[in-house]
Amino acid sequence: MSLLEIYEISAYYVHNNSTTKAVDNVSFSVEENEIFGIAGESGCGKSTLVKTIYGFIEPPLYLDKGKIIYNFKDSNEINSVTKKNISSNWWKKISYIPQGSMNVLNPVRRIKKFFRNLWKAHSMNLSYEKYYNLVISHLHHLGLPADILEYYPHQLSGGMKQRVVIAAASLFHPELIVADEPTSALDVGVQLDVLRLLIKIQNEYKNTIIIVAHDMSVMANFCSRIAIMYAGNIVEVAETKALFKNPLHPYTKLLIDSLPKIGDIRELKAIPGSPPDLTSPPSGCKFHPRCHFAKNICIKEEPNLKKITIDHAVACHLLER
Amino acid sequence: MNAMEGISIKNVTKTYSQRILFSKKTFNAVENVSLDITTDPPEIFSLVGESGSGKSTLANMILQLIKPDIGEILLNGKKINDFEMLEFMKKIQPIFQDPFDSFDPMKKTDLFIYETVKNFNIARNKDSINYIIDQCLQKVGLNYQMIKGRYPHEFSGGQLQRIAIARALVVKPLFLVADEPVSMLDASLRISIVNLFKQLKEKENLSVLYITHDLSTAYYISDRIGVMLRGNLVEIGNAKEILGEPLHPYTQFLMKALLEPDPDKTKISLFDNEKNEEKMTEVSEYQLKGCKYANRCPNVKKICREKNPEYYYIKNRKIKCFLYEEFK
Repeated sequence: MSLLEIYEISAYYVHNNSTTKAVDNVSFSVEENEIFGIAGESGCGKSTLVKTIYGFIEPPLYLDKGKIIYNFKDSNEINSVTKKNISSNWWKKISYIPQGSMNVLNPVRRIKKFFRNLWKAHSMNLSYEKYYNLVISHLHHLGLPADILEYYPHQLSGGMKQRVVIAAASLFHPELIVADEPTSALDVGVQLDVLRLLIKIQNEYKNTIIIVAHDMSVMANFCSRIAIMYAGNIVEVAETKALFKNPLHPYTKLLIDSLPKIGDIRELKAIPGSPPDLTSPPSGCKFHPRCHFAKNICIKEEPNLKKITIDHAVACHLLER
Repeated sequence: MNAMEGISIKNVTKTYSQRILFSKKTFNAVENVSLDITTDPPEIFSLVGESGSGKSTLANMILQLIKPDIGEILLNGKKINDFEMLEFMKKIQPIFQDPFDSFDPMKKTDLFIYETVKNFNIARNKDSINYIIDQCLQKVGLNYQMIKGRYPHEFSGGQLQRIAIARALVVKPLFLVADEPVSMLDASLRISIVNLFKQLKEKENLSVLYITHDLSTAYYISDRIGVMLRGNLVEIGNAKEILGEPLHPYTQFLMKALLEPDPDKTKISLFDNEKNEEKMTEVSEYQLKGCKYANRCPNVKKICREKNPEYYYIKNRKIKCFLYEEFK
């Protein structure tokens, strides 16, 4: 049984008179103990998708249709996590590392206070002393010095702040960690260290990580499976190696071809055109205005995500037989 | 002194000071940097390094936004502060990191280019101004109709960055200083901007100083590359050679940390026992007496901590590292 099953969710933003279809009819599942990546251009709805998964749905965002099933270990009919009670399971079963999360720390409070607030909100069944020892041993385990608890956020570097947030997110050993662009604002060397830390956590606690990034090189190095998103739809889901070796959707092909590599002196081509406006997306397949292979059917009908092999699904009319 | 066509930076140092309560620390954000970038023939020179290594300080000194404390910068053999500001800006134009910050959100985008044309007295009547604007926009793959009467928020980041480049082209500059022009953009848009620089170099004879921390785009476009470490240029030379076979330990570290979009070359293995070495704070690394990399370098020797190395020449690259002492 998959840890997370998502059926045809659509999440829209409402503005004055228009709705932005940020996530449109998306279905996929995430297995236990895997690192699942969601990649795509900015504005394609990846952050909205993970916010919906985390259950953080606040106006102007609303869930138009669809359902999400969380199959956590001890969940049964009475005790299952649903959309309604998910907020009480935050940090314990599912935790979220938001975008730019190194800025979530309060600049005028010590890191200790941040952890204390976490205790007040989620862990009052433990005495504070026990909790404090838990925090220290957890930090120590992740290779962070315990004296950072006495620091203010401005005394830490960006990478350290990011690690503190990751440490907090993994403190109660949640089964699912959702990380939204955890490395995009960091330096190259620090980026690698932060990803290593996430791998270490995943390896030890055997939890599932969903990571969102626009950087395909992070994806290639980190994920076991990748979903490519375009204009609110998932267009391709595959195992990392299969996706990079044999991309099937025209968008994925262009995306992977446009990445510069060291030692590769080919002339690279950017993807022609620009991503569509999601308040009035194009008809049919949303990629058809930019696609070289667009046929009549692409303009009329929206393709569905179909499995080509066991681990490779694509939403494209060209591959349907 | 030979009057070289282009920018020539001679032994430039910029010192900043940091005050914490009653103590004062000074450090050199740029330390004794010399560098020539030619505009004839045009070249794309990349400056790479971690954040806080003084790349932007160097760029701002070239743009005359800050003054160097020691040393001088020459443009075509003449000191840059001897130029009239308008004349200087006709030769060198900047492109900044965040295109959304370089535009006034309350003003129409075409007005931004229009004002540049007016300020530089390039054309006076409306038709010829419009013609110039259209010409410049076509060089970056847009046209006047597309941007007329629209506000910055109606464009994507990539489009806005193109418009910012078009604005810089209005004065027909010799030299563009692009400070992290693609770091705010998506990977798929990056390559289109980077290709644009390549095109401008070939068609408009424009030299570009491309400042970035992204080694793979630097490898892709640049002719020469300079690696910056805490104010020092530690390795300069042909981009393909340096990134193909890095010699300075810091460049080697950058290459090792670079993630590549290839799952076969994964660098984060599950059984990685490499320790997360705590980086020193920036300022304390700046204040090291010897080589600034001494505390992180795997090949550190005694002399590295005592003296800042000079340049050693290997083939056609310059390296600031005692490992290559015999090549003096």
